[in-house]
Amino acid sequence: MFSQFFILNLRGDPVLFRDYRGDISPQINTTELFFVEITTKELVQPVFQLTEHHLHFIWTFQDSLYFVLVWNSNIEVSKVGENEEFDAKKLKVKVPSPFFAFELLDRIRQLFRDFLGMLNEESLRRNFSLTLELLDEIIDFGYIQTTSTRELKRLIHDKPVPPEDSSWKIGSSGILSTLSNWNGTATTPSNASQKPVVATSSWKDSFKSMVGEYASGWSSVIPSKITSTLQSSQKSDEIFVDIIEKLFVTFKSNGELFHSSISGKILVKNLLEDQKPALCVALSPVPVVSHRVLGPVPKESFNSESSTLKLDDCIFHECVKMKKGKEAVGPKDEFVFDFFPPSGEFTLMNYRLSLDRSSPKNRISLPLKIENQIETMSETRFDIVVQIECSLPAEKHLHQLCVDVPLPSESGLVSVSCELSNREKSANGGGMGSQVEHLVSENKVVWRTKKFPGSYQQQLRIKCFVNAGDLIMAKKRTIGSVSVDFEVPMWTSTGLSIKWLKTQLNAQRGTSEGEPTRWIRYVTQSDSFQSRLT
Amino acid sequence: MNNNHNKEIETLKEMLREGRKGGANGMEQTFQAVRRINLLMIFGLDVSDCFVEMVMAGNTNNIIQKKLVWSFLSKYSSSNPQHSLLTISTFQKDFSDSNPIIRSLSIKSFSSLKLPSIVEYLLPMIEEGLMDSHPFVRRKSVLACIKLKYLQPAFFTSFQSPLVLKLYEMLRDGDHLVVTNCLTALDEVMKEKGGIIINRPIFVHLLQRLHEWEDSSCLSIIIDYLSFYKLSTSKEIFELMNQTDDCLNHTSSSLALSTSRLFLKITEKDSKLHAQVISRIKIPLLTLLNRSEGAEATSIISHLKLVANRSPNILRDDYPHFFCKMNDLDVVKLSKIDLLTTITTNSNYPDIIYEFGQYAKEKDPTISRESVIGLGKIFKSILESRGPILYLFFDLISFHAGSSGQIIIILRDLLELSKDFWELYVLDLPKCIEIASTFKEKECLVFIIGELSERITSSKNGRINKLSPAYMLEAFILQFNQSPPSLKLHILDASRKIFFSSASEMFPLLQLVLSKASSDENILVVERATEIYKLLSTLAISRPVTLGAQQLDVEPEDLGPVESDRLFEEFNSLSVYYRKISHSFISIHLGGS
Repeated sequence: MFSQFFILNLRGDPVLFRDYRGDISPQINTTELFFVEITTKELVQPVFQLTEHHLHFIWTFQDSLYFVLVWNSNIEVSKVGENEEFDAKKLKVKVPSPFFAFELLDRIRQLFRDFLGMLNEESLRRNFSLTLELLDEIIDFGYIQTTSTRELKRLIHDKPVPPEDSSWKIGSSGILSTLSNWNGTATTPSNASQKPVVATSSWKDSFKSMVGEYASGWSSVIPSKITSTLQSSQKSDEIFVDIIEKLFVTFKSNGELFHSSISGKILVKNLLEDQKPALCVALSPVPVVSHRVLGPVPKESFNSESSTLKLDDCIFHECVKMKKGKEAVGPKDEFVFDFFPPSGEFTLMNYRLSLDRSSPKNRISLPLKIENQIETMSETRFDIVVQIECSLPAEKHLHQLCVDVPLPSESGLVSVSCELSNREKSANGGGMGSQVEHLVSENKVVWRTKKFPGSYQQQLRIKCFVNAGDLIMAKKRTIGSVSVDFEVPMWTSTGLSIKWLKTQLNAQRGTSEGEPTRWIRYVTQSDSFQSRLT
Repeated sequence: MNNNHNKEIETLKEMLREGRKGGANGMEQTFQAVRRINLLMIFGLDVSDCFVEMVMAGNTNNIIQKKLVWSFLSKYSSSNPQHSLLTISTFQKDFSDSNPIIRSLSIKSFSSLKLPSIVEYLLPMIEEGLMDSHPFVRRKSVLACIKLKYLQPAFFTSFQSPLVLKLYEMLRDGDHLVVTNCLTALDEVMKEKGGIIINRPIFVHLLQRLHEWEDSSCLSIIIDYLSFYKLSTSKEIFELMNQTDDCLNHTSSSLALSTSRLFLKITEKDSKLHAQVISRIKIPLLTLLNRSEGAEATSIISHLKLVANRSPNILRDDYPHFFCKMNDLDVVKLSKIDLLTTITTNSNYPDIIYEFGQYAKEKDPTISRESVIGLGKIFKSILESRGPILYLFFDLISFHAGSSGQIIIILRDLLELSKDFWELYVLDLPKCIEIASTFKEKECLVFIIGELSERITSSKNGRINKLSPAYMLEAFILQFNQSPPSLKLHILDASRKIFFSSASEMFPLLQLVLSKASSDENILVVERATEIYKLLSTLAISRPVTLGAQQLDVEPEDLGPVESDRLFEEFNSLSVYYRKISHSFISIHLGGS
């Protein structure tokens, strides 16, 4: 299996290196071979082989570091017996699965983050003996061993080294520091019980821009706890659950929807004190897929069609245990299931649906519509008109809206001027701090708005002036797509929400005693949201 | 640099020697030196000089230090066999420690020494370790068997060898990692004999315990090995699929793929069921594709492509999943474009052509080039798409889109299939002349003009001076001497063809080009010119001439059915990614002793 694992920085220096099988000659400098390949070739696949050395590299690039697994396909065989000749046809070699490798790389990064508190070149170098210890337990002789944070905690003896500056509180914020059962031979840092500042803030980073809204954007099942937990440094016994939906939408230039799909996930970060927590969650509306039964839920048991959400598919984490029959349906038509969260961050559920094929009964809504037009005004002027209409309810808003309009290139464009106009004055609109900028070097116009309110419409008119005679060509060369970037806090396109989250014990008894703090948040993001110009 | 390095090594050695004198200070000093040496090792510096001192530092109660020393030792042991043997007693002492973590560390590190001479000590340790009461020790002892095999293959010559039998027995161990390690260990130590054999009792046992496993990587390993057992009845097949169905709908992609492979493999003989399985597994594959943000996507796409090869219409309605997102990596975009071309049918081609048209306008030259190449492939396979694709091509040419040059090359390739449409676009030919910039593009254009000359002259547009083939070719003839030989040959051939369709107009130009060619330094060009001379002098010969047939660059064909089937056997592996069966990239060498 995998012969080596290493991490390189942007300059190609090894940050970490571990040889697991010793089957690659020390004369072959794998890190250098890898780095030369990825820096000299234009398009490097995430899996590639160097035939000359029989080496295969599986790599990802994250946090400015290269994470690489190496597989050697030059297989050592031994003589079978005295009288038996080796038969190459019989030889069985297991070729690794790329999925297995990518998942392993992902998991290693996750574990480093859990144990070191943060993952960057400096923290890895500072903690190299801890990371080597981890790598030795995760993989042995090229075979994956244990990747569970809980189990690794028992095997790892080294402790994270504080950074040299004064931010040790931040450095100690790995999951480890919050899990009390630290291995006996190592001592727990005195401040380990402190709230994991970075663990939460890196959690924040996974969203594009919500930091400003952080406190108010959260909703907890027990709202009264919000402020107290955020401010005090009491022992953390919390679980974070986020529903994140990403939109992949393309409009044709006439505003007609070309295609659209939603990819959603429920992301959990478990910082509970309980080492083997058993939780129960209720989702509403009830997700339904056509090709199989999600937990044996008979469809008739739902009071109305409106309480179901038709998905194209959904998949669950291994810790999920489906309930059987009527137990899977809550009193108010929720979809109820149990799960036993591992420590740290993981995806509880992934789901997807495409709008064009789902039934109209699904109450799925796109947060905004784009329409654009190219209008000829005179022989030397044409206008690109982009209209944005936010279809959210009035009390919601689009966050950090950014609209990119490409301008025609090499087309004799003389000058450009932009104009914003509101079609409808909305009560909460106006003064939203819209900004329109013509970026000459990138040949595009960028329109930014911090908050774009629901039920509001605005139009951007880009006046393009050309020399007489260039008009037709310039118009023709107005190509590409208007692309829009935004996010919607506390709102999901599908309307999927978490009705409640309890320990299994409380769920059975119908009580809510001694529940840990549970943070639940929703966000919808544009993954690829565009409107064609032609 | 080198000097500094040597100096540092000397200091570190000194620290280690000093440290041995003991005391809290000394221990700390030793520990720091050991850490430093390992750090230098990571940077790739040679620290083998410290060997003796490091070996001594292994005898310690500091478990972190121990781990570091053993890691150093595994790298340098083979170059210092003598001194390595000094460590045997330390390993043996650790192996009898009451702490299972120390015991497992001991057997793991000891077996990692690449020294044949340790075999006599290692074997009893493994035998004892396999029976240890703690799973940690058993896990490591199982893997130590693989390492032992490379030191002494004689222990693993047949399925009846004692260690092999023991490993088989341990497949019933209560610890999940011991079981998965046994499976992988047996598979590797018996690889010369075709790997592990899964018989019915093992199969039943593993299947019964499947629901006890929670870890997804262990599950995917077990499922991989379940697929080795050949099921006999369809009842068994259904039972297995029912038991593993949950694993298919899993957030772990490797588990979902292993399960897919299992499903595909066990249903292979029943073509109807197989087809159902294929449409079943594509659903989670698409879900995984939807959520994946980076490198994983290309692997999923290559697997979907293989599935689409076997069951051509399977992805017909799922094409929007493969449209490129704005922030997709270039490699992902390219593999999506490639997949889209293979799944285009006469039901979905309008949307795909529309989408490709957008990519063809992109600034990125690779993306726009690949998308027009994709359009060329669709043109060949879908009859209905030909009109819209040509329209799109000439629209792109009309505003000099970045992909225009590539389009000319493709048009030449598609000429035979598209002759009937050309009437509509003859007016655009002069525009192509402005665009063709590379010699390759010019060659293609000259060929197109030559081939179409008869149609152009016979059509009503042919009388427009700008559109006469002779007129269009003139520009190329004037630059004849600056052209490379292959373009010259193309010009000669086109001149000949045009001469046959409009002799009077072409005659002076043909004289000009032949005189230029006959004095050319390239022998092939001269020969071609001579042939045309001869041809013209014996006018009795009728027109159609196979003279100097132009060879197209033949694209490497996609996998044939046999290779595709063999690749299917290797579902969920790098082979599918490379689109090559593993035989082509695996090599073997005979081990040492």
